[in-house]
Amino acid sequence: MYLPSRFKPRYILFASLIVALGFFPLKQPLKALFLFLSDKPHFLAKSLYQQKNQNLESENLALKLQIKELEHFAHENQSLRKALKLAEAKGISIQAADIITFSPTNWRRNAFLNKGVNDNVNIGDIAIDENANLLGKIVDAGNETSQIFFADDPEFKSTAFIGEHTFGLLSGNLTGAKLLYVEDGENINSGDTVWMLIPGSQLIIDVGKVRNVQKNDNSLFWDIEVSLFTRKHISKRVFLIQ
Amino acid sequence: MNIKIIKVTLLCIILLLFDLIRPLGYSLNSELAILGIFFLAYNLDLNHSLLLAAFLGLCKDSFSLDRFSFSAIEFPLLCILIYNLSSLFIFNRRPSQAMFIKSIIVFFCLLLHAVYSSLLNRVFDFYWSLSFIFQSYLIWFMINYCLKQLVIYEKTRN
Repeated sequence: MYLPSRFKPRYILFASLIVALGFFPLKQPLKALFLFLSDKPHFLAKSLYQQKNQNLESENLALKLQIKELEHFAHENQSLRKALKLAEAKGISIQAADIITFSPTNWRRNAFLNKGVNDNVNIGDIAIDENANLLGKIVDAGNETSQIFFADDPEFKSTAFIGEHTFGLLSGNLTGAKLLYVEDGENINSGDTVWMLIPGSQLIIDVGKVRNVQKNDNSLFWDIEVSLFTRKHISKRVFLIQ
Repeated sequence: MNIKIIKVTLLCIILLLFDLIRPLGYSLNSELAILGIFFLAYNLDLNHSLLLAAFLGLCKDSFSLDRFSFSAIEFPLLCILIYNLSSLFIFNRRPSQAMFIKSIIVFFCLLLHAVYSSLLNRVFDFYWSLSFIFQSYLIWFMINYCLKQLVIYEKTRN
């Protein structure tokens, strides 16, 4: 009979080492696996209510965006701006699309979507997730499919803001993103929200939070690292703002 | 065609498909296709492994959305490297020593792949690359131990 007291310490040490070696590098994948499995019943049932669900999610997202917009402008000149932005926000539409395939290499963050020009998807359309955070940008659109670069892709580039007036070029770097060419970074702190404006409208979407702020003596610009709000692209659905 | 070759081919294709659909998103920091290449390089003869590696590389390049992708060249070169390093170091060793050397060769190949991909995509992050190597290494061990029984060894019953 094997009781814990009769285990030899070296076996316990060896078992602990194996568990530690296996667990620490694979912590994130294991977490994602649990999330994937917990999402599975919904994934299997989606064919039944897919279209209805997509429409509801799009509507929900549009409402979330409007709420965010209202919250942001509450800090500024209230009534006039709010009325103006709401009127402009009515011009946009949100379309749900599903990811068909990802890029097989780990050094890129891009994917193919199942909507294309036939569904009014155009190059430059911004993609957001179900929480209305930035997901990526459409870089190529065919008739039936389109290609998206996620925000952490090394070739993703877009203008983004921190606070009221500070802005820079958001560029992905696999683990998150960086805000490049920021000149006035004195007032930026870790934890500040990074946001962007949708081109052609005045809608605001959140990108992430400032992770680290540094100033190199030999450079004119500040080094700002951003951790993105997106959840490692585990969800296979994106919403395109048109 | 040998049944072993068919099984290994199917395994590699399944691993490549997992790379494409990514059920765990990008939280799994590993490329399963390249682990399949290591598996076939150790379990098939050189000619078959070269052909299969080139085929898989071509498939990966076809599905890749990048402008530059040279997996059709990289995978067979990795196979040749594994074959040569194995014949240089593993020949006539005890099984435990052979396993240790095999692991070191896989680690070296993963390191090469990480450096090559970083240069190709002009992006380098030390901790991210380290995480890639360790996760891939662990998954390779899992594949090697769990799937080898299914794929390589035939069940013999009298």
